[in-house]
Amino acid sequence: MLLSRIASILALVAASPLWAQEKKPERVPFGRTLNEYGVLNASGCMCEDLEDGEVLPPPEITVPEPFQYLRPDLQITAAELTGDQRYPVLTEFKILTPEVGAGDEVRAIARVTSAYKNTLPFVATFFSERYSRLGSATMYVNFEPSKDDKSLFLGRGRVSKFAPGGRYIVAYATISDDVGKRQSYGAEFHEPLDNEDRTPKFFMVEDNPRVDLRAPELRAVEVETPSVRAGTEPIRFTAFAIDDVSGPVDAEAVWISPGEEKWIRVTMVHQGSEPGKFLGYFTIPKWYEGGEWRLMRIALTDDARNTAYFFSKNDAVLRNAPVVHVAQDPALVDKKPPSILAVSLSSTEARVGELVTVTALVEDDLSGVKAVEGYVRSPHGVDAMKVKLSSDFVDLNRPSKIPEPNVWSATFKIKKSMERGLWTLVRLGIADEANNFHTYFDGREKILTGITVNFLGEDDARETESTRGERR
Amino acid sequence: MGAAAVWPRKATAERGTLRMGEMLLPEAPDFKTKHLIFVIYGNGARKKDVVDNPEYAPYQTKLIREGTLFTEDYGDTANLHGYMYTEMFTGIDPPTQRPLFPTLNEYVRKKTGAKASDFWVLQGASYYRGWTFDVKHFSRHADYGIGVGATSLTMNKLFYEENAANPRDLFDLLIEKGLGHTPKERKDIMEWIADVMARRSYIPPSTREPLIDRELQYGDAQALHMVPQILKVFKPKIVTVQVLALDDAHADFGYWDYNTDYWEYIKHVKATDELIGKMWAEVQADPYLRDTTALILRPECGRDDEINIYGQLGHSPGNYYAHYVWTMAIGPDFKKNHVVKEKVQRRDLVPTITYLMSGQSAEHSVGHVRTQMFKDEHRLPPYVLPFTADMKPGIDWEGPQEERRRAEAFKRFARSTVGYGD
Repeated sequence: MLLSRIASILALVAASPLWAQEKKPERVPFGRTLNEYGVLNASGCMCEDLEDGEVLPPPEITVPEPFQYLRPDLQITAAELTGDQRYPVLTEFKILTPEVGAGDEVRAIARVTSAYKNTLPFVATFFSERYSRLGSATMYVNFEPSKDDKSLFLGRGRVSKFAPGGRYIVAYATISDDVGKRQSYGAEFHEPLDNEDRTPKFFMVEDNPRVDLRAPELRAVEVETPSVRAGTEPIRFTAFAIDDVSGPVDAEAVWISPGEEKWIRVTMVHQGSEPGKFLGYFTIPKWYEGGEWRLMRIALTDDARNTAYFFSKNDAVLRNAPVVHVAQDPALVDKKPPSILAVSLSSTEARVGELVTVTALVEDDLSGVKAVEGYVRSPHGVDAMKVKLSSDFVDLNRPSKIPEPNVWSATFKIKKSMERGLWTLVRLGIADEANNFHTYFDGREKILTGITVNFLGEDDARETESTRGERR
Repeated sequence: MGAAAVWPRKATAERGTLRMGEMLLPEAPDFKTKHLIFVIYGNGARKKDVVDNPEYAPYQTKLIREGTLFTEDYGDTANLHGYMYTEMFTGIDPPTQRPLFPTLNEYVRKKTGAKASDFWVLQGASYYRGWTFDVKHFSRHADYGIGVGATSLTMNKLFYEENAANPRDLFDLLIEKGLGHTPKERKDIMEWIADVMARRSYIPPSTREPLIDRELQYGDAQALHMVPQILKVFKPKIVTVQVLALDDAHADFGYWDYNTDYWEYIKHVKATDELIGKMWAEVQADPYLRDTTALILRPECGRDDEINIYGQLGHSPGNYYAHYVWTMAIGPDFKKNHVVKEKVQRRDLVPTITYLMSGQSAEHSVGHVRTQMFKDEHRLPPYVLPFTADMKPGIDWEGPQEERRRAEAFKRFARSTVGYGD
């Protein structure tokens, strides 16, 4: 098999014209068989999770394409997966309130089958048939599990009192379980979300005289502090907005540095006594560059959830807004991201439930390391976990033990539902106090290449059994 | 179509003119364009990484001189590719992924009486990151639909070394029935597929920035590489390419099969830029196509202003470079070395292409014809920016069910054999 594959690749390379791409990505053979959940399940069903008389359907789905371009639940490779990889399946969906008025509650029920019996609450999104995805024309229904029946979900959502009338069709629902399996179901591609004639299920909203589909407009911006010192003096500024029906309620600004390398998002607070007036107040961090900082964007949202964005690149009000001169000592400007000097895992082998420690030695030239976060991934990518490292000082009652701000570590373990085999630290991101960051990738940066741990199955023997601290 | 369509909204246009929203255009203008390559530079690209960046995109930045460049091309939304793609195809912000209203191919095919092999939609893969891309080549609209749709080819289902199926089976399996191919068209397409397979002409040319060794990137390259071949053999009216792999800039947001980031996005920008350059050069080298073929290129959205802390570049509402992209238009009817800084709308492309290729209106679209790009000799009126929250036509769900049932039956058949990618 392998030899014939090598031979076919060699034949292709030999036969291809010189100008052609030398290498073609590997392809998964047609006809892999999956279970109803769309997943090849090498370790069999989690039979202990099934009720009496409940069975998983027979395999019947075939996969025509390589795993990476299919739905997450179809991510398989030519290799057999281990662990249990079933996703929650939406099997029923019914809207209980076919006609509502603006401001009314919409109710629905859904049935979700999960091998793990622990599907998380989820949200179904509805769009107005006529106005699609405009703010007040988008509607969310929140589903919570029933106390008596964990597979039954009760959904509730409220139509905006400013929503346009007409038909609201279900668009999609993304459903997760607490072992991290996630699947998105779209109305046009998943039968339970459709009517018998395969049109998306919907509810009607009565005509609404208070409909609001227009977002607020930005009328003016005032900057009260024309000059400040970085790290100490706050900048205060005000935006003035108008709105035709529901009124502006939220605003967010983004400021940008002279070199356009740093952005700062500022939540502006509505001054309720003066409709349309929003106040912003923030300080340029002490490690950021000085010079003329300017407003890059303001977002305004009204009470109907219509949002408008105003950019300095093409909006006259923002383009003409005053700049703020920021005084800064050039020696304090930190533009260089921290770096990783060394990284390792505490073990090359582990069993399900056993902790593995990832440790990184890091450095930063000026502001200091603020965060280190990694990502470990299972052999075929069907499972992955974020690992957030910390640099906590543990007092061991030893005079020689002092804080070590350059040593960062964290532990992780896999659950029994996850894939066994060689897990890889595929990514490690590091940021400093000035928000300079760099992400290291397995295979791209040598320092992060080949950092692995082999998670053994229940029946696998360790290559090297641990003896350290072991009691006999 | 049962419910009230909005266009034309005002008084009936005068004889010999077309009303499109607020604009009045001459009917059946004398355009020289016979063929159009429409590249949806898809799944998100920033103008600062492409047309504003000669280092990353030397081919496209040079092409700017050959045509018209819109620099402030706005999209109301900057996320959910399945919906934005459908907006690109229909000229309406849709509530569904599958087009409810006629696509640009349907408009042009119906209005010109052209045949199925005059319209092609090419994509590297059918399904990627939660979105289905090979369902965009016809709508469920009662007056249009699959009968005036386009021939859709998915590269990784068709063109690969191990594919030993015969062209007849591939045609039956991969191209929807109901598109109206005549027996001669079927024969021509099957022979062409066999020829492509035999000559391996689906293998894209090498690029200075090598393609990332994954099937989606390869599929994009194949789709771009197939365009001149299809143009030369079938002389179609429109070939649409759906580029997909640029979204690898943030591809493991919950899709953790591999690690991707801004760095890989830039690599794909560089590789596809060269492939676009080579594609256009091949068209220009053909004495017939050179004078009759146009190229329109636009991403369906841009990408964020800032790279996130994981080194990824998303596409989120509220980012200038996510909402504002560019359109490049080159062809015998378009102005050269012309830069338009006026704000235009994503929904404009359907009425613009329909007008270019048929001289008629896209009556259900709510975009406007971008008259700025046409040469002065056509004497078109000034462009009017369409209003964002404009009325849309009502949807008649009951009308087009027959087409829908046929499509579903086809997919059931496809699933029962080798599967289907949605």
